[in-house]
Amino acid sequence: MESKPSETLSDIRRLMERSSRFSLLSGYSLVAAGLCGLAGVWQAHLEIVHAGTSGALMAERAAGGGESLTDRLILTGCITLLAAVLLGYLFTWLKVRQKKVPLWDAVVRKVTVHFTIPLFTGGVFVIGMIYFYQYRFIATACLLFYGLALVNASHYTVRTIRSLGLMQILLGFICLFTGYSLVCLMLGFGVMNIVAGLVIRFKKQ
Amino acid sequence: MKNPIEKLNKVFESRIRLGVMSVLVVNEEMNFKDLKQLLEVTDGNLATHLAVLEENGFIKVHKGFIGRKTNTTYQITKNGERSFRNHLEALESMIRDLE
Repeated sequence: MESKPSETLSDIRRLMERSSRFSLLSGYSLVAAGLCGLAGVWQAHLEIVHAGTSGALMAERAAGGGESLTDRLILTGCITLLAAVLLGYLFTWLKVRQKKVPLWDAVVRKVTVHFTIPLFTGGVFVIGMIYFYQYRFIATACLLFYGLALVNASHYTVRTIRSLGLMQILLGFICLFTGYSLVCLMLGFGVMNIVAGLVIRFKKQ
Repeated sequence: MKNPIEKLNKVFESRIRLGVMSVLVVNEEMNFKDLKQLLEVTDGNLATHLAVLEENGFIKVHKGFIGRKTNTTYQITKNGERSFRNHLEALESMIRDLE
């Protein structure tokens, strides 16, 4: 009945780890989300160029009416977010299915809840800014709240996520003071996600 | 020399009971279904072991409802946590003695 103490201890450690952290997060999820981010930022860039200058937002507002560029940018943002979440979910789902464990267990619920609370808060905040025509800090808010969501969720999943979150927050600050919104979004939502995804993918092998 | 096996807790000799304690020591609470999934055991088996742990005062049971379905959650007690840690220390000292 009594097994080797070292085996028992490693069993215990495995169970503690498995019951408190979601370790099956696929690196490809983040890579996919990052690619969506890059595509989204590129599309936004094209739209801004198309609309004339990068100051077009202000000009448009001054002119009143004609919110077409803003509307298109918001639409681009929403589509990007949706695509990133769906693709991100898909790759992790595929990985979980391969291992034959149910995806929606206690740990996944925890990760989801802890990730969603800051992200939802940020989402409402951004919608509020759009509503009051305060566009200046939208990119900053996106980066900051995304970063906070990642740090918050990192307690219950792969540790690399924590570093990713901190980097997003740092980029948020840079964005806040420099105003290079598109560059920061490209680095944060695009490059950082892809890098972190690759780190997660190849660290575990 | 002291015999380290003396310090091992008989209640934790079962792998499943030890598993339950391992899970509850790092999670504030956990419900029956999630425990069952994690430990990969049958309902009856798990229930028996949980009852033993409860009788020993190592875990607390909360019976709640989600809608009409029962939702029973389990928490570790102070006493349970202490006993579990002592057990782990005993295991570790056994390994040290073996080396």
